[in-house]
Amino acid sequence: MTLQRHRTRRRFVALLGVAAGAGALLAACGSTSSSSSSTGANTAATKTVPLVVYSAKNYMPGVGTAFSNKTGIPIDLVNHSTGTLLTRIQAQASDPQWGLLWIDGAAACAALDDQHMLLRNFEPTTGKLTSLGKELVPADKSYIPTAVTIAGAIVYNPKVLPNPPTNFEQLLEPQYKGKVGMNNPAISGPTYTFVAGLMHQVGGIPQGESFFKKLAANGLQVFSTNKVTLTALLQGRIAMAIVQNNAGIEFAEKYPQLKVEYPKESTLLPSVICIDGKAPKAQVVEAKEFANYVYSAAGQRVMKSVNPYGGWPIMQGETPAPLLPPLSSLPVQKIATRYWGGQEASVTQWFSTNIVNG
Amino acid sequence: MMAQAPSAIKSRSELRQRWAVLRPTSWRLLVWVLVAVLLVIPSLCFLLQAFSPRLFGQGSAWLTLANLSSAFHQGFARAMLDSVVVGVAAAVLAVVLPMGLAILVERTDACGGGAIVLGLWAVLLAPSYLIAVGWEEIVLRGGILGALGLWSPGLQHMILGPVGVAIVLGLKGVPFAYFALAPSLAAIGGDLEAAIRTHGGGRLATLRILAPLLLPALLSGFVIVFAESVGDFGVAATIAASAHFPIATYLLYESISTFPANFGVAAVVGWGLVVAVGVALLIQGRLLRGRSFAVVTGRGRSSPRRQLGWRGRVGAAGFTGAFFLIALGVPLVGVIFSSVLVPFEGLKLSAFTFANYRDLLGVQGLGGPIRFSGEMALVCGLAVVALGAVLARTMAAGRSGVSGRLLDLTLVVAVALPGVVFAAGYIFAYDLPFLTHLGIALYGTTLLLGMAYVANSVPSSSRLLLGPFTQVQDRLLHAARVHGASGARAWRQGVLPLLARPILWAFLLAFAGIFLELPISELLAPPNVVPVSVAVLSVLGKANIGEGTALSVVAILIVLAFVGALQVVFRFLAPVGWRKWQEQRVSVAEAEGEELASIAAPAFAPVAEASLREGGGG
Repeated sequence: MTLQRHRTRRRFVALLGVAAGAGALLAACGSTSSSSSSTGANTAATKTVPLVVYSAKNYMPGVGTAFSNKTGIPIDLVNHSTGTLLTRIQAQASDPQWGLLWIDGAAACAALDDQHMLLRNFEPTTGKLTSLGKELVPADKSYIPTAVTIAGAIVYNPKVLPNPPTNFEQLLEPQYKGKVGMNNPAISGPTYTFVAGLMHQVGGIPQGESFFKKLAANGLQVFSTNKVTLTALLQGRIAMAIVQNNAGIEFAEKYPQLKVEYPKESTLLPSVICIDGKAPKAQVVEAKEFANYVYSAAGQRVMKSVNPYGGWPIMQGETPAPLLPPLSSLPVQKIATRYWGGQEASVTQWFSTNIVNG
Repeated sequence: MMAQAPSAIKSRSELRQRWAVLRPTSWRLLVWVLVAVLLVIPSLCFLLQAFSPRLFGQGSAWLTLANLSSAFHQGFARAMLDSVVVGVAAAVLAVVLPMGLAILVERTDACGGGAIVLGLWAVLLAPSYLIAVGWEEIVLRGGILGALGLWSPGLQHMILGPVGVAIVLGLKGVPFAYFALAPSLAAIGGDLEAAIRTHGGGRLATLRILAPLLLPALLSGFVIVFAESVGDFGVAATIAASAHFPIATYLLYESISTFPANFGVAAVVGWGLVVAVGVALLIQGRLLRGRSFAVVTGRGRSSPRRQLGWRGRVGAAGFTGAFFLIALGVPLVGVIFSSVLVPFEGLKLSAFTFANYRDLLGVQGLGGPIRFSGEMALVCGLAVVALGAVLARTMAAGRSGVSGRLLDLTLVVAVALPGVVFAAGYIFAYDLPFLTHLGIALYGTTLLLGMAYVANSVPSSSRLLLGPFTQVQDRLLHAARVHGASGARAWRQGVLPLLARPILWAFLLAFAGIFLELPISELLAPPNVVPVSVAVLSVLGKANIGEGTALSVVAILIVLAFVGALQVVFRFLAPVGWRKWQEQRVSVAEAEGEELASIAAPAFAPVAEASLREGGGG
């Protein structure tokens, strides 16, 4: 009995040893392979550490590589859709692991700022914004606009749909019954801006809900994201897809049978950079340098060459890529970022319950 | 008093035996530590958000029911109901169809038994989203039927709706149910059938007596397919997402993907899935409690095989062919066609092109993702099989005890939780300030990604191995030890040859799952690392739908090539004993499917255990 107990105790001690060894191994692996962890909190501001960039923009990794070549600052890139990046950031709320975020949609950044997660009062100084660009800068300078896109452009096949709508109210007409497809705003961030813009246009949230209910009754089809909606267009499931304009342009370039139309009033969707307010000092310094590079003439050139459809530039002296029509010729509107950012949870929830699953 | 004493001693002894598994012996403690670190802690960290969002900085309340109320407001009740209905329908389909296949393989001399089993593995390896997308490509107006002038709005409506969701999930579940049913069908009946016939019973009497004996295997297959179906995300994100047919996993996905992400509501949905599977297990337990299904003896004769006439053979081939056509052939054709057809051109020769595949060669940086995912799948697949084998052995050894049942319950529940739950749970559990201060910075490392891959795959793999491990008699080990073999050698030479092929298949299943895994890769991949699934999404995101589909096809071909290569290696390079055993086994059973045994063997266990008991006693 004593022998057995002794043996059990020895096994237990051995097990603890194994567990402790495994723990140490985990710690070693973790600390060595995560070059971007926040253990760098004590790092001196001057020391170069990898800048952790969360990007949903197709500018990366091209702009990141050019920035690293110029400054010597290495980039740790996490490249995903806006939704995935925001989910990652929110799940890391207790211990943020990102340094700089580059996405489409200022509303999400405004919401992060409301949670006191962003660095404030910083504005790049290497370029001058156009008047439109200046309008997009928030009062507390918590995010940095870098370009603009349009949230709701219509992609269609002229052979199937010779007369696309010229304004969004026409979508309710019988001729478009069952032909319209769009993304789910609960999953596709830019689509929320389109929904918010339309609600703003028809007079507010109650009127907007009424509009979307009528649209659903007219056979609106809702898919998860751009690629699913655009695939549905290829498959003939829908005759027109309402998507972000840069996705539509890329798609129309790939499939020349398709055209892109900008109905009245299309809503502007800024591309923005924001910086983690809780990041180590060294990373904050590097993030500021990155934003300055993006605003510089060199950065703008790289952006245009890497992704010509990334958006209309908002820096003075810069011109858009040839496939982008002059922004001044388009019927666009701006919406109040803070107000509509605050409504995002309730509007997308309503949309999910009543339109997607209704 | 004297009469009561033995009974009291017996009950005390039973009680001691029952709870013995909870004693902190090093082996079981280590197993539970691993299960806790990989599965339980991350899952609980996620699920706790339902009631305590402040725990991980997701809200201000330490304890609240607001998320529950919010979930119901967002249609949680209907989504759960839809999921349960679809899960039950899929499970019924997945239990009925394999019965026919198992009868053909185990009870008739219909040819192609081995091919059927291989085909079932192919169905098991094919991701559910791919089957769903393949069907979409067939039945849509712009799909293949449309191009052939055979488009039917009725068929499209049926397939791209609740019926289609249930059918796809049911077909996907067929292999799980088959591997639970086939061994039981092979095991019971030889003596019993002879006895029934001797007493003048006809076919109907035989069926009436034998059918209830399959109840454990049927229920087991039913529960595992139900768990797989309610937790499936591939079909939820494709067919169900645009069919105005909300199901639980899609609601969970929406809650996490929206901004701001609502982890609380997602956790409530997670609890819903846990409860649904828990109830299914409870019903299974109730139906089997107090009944004995022990009919297999060590001396029993093997089941007789019915000689089929030519009509029977044609019918069998037709049934099998129709099943594989619907489950695999049609969706595969859909996916491949969509990658080689030019959109808007119809179905004509000039519309066929390999441009998408050619363009893939020009897409830079695809080699890196394929290599990274391949390495991760290889390393994590081996870890999954090792841990799965340990778990299967632990469950097989202690299934009558509380710990064994708890482990069983934990693994079945884990099957029903989508990968995104583990992914988010891993962030909550392992990205904490106190861990960082301790120097344990796991988040953003390949190690954590690998741990999550293992956690996501190990429940299925361990259940896959449970059947074979249950069938292995401890006497084999004892005999080897008596003859002077060390513990390791006894396992290596006495047991491993018997389990080599199931272990190989479990590894291949884990390899395929990890190679193509998406939600965990999205949330946990370290910076500068792009797994294959993320690369596919990235290509699709650049408007290259055809290239994205082509890349999916290439990724699956890589997996299939790996599966084929490993099979060849096993056939020619595995130790002779392993292959000999295999050949003997096939010659005795006349079917390759038997040795794969059951996946969800809790139900088969009574039969197997009875076999061991009676065999030992004989």
